Amino acid sequence: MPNLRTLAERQAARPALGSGHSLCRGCGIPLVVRTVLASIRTPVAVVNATGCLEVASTRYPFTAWSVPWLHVAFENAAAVASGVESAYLALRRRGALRQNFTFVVFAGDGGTYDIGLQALSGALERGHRFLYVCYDNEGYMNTGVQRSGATPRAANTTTTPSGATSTGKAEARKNLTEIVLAHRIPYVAQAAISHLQDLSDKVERATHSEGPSFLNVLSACPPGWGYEPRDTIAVVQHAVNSGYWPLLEVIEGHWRLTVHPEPRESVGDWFGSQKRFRHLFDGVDVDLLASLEQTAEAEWQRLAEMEARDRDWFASPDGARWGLSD
Amino acid sequence: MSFPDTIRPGALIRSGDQPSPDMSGWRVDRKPAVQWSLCVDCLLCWAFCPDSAVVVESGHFAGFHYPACKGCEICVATCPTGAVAMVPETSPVGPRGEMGGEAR
Repeated sequence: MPNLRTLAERQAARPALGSGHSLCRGCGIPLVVRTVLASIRTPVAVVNATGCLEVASTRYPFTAWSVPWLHVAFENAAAVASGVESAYLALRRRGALRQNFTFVVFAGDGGTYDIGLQALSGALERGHRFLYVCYDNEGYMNTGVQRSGATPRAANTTTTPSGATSTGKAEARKNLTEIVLAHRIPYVAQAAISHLQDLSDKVERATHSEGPSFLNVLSACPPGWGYEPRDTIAVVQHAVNSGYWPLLEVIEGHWRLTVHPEPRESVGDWFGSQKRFRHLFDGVDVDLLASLEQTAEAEWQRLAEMEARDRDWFASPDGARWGLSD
Repeated sequence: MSFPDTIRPGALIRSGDQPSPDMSGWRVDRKPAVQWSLCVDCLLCWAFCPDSAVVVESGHFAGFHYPACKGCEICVATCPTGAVAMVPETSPVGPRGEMGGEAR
């Protein structure tokens, strides 16, 4: 597995995504893109759904990209990647292309959880070999912080404003990772921008799996979440260390937590780090915070049980192929 | 030649067709600078910089590329030894952000 220094050398030699993009100060998205692409050794082609990354990295006549890059629309990134992969396979069959390529999709939570879900589901079912990376900042940030299927319960957004009669978003977030898992693809993982070595290791396993692979990476959004840009990494560390965003991977259907925060922080530390959850602490609805804490705890226990159930598989000859047994 | 003369028909934009835009105007009166004696070359500032403004040469930290820096201060927040600090925009620093104005 490449370490940070190796990734830095690769990035310095050939930056796939450079500077000069207009993503906000303190945005987490470039960390996802750079770490993913520096972890892949073959030539890559990138498909980008509409979203912050696409808008901010390709302001006409500029581009921050130095790899083949394709944007079509919000809803069809996975369908476009399917077509690119199929064309590549056809060229290989004809002998017109000999290089091994890796196809990577970058899409936000709006383009993945909501608008692009149908295209993603179809591509996963057809088994196209590509890595789909969702950079999850928990809302439609580029258009002004509207709620998405990834926005957590109680978050204040411009379409779920907290106030006298509302405590932010009323619904729980969608569990996209498990929706993707239901397609029985070989590799699914959750990662976060606070743990880039973990992300890089997961990219390596994802790209070596035979078939589609999926990474759901928690990014961060200073204006949308309400914190100072300098705190981007610290805020996401709270998400991981509290168990709100478990770093996990599911390999051929077998679960494994890749980071076990010890001791685990309270999810209150995560909520307390952002203004979008400020109303949880004003004393008006104390039950809501307690309920959110209970939900997070129950989810953590559920994952711990699944990990315990699958531990033997990682030690078995099938699991040992992935080189992950303790 | 200036834009739009450099854009070919079809408007396909290639990397390098245009220079990377200067983002230093996004900074508000302050820029990062490094105190070399405290730097342990861990590269966390490089890893966490959203704007590729941390320069790495031969695998080692080599200062800041100011035109790319938006002044988010993540490098300051993630530096484990306090080697990176924000200084006034007008402070004299070395060409790569060395405090005191001297290159290593």
